[in-house]
Amino acid sequence: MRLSLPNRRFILSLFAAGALAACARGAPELPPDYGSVNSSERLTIHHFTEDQLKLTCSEIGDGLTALNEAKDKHEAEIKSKRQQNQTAGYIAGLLFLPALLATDNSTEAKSGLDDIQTRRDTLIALERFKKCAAKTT
Amino acid sequence: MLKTTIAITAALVLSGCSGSWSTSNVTPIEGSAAHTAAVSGTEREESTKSDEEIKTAAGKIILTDKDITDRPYETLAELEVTVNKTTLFHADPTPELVREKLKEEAAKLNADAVVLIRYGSTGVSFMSWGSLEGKGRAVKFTK
Repeated sequence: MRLSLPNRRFILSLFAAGALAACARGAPELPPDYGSVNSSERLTIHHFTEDQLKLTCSEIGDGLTALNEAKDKHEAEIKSKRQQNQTAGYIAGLLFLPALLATDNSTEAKSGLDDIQTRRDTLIALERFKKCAAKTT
Repeated sequence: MLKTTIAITAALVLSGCSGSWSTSNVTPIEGSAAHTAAVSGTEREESTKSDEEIKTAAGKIILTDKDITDRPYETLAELEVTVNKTTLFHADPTPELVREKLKEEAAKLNADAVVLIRYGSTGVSFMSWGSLEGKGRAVKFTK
């Protein structure tokens, strides 16, 4: 049975929308390089708010821990939807195309993760600025 | 019906292949040893390291999602890697696989560590039913 052009376009649009709905989220961009000896950029007080500058090293560490917990929650939500999206994809591909409408992009959780990464980058930079004892090596 | 059967059979056959494949993008920092090597064409020498040598070097690379502040370092390059699953039926790529790929790319540059590592979220991409991207900064300690 050959589909008419409008129907084919509709089905292709549905497929594209469904596929895009479960798209991979790219890794957030790296922050400016303030740490390297060959970097021309250096941290100053102007990179932080007054409230941030008042934080102690211990408070910065607590802030990073809290952000990690928030990140884990968002990631768990995205992971749980991933399985639902894959199932919808299998069903749509093999049996019933409109099943793609059941996919969930977790837009809020994804933008939440980007926001968390930005805040983490600021706290990590603050640790460097305040010369907190971040022993990594 | 026949096409569906062929597609499923092909996917099952392919599922016997490696579960994932990866791509990478390395942006050397201007003025760094990696950038100098790339510009002068000596990068080709670096890339003749055997897989075994790269694996050994990769095992010594420090990975962190934070910064390293207790040792001075020079930034060599910004790394961007993507791990993809081979077929719809393979397991999703994991952050561990991304870390392994970052280590491999850092080892090729003779880096000591990869800092400020961050990950995307697994999902469909143009190339795969499941892709996971990771980024980090490859650095070499100066002391």
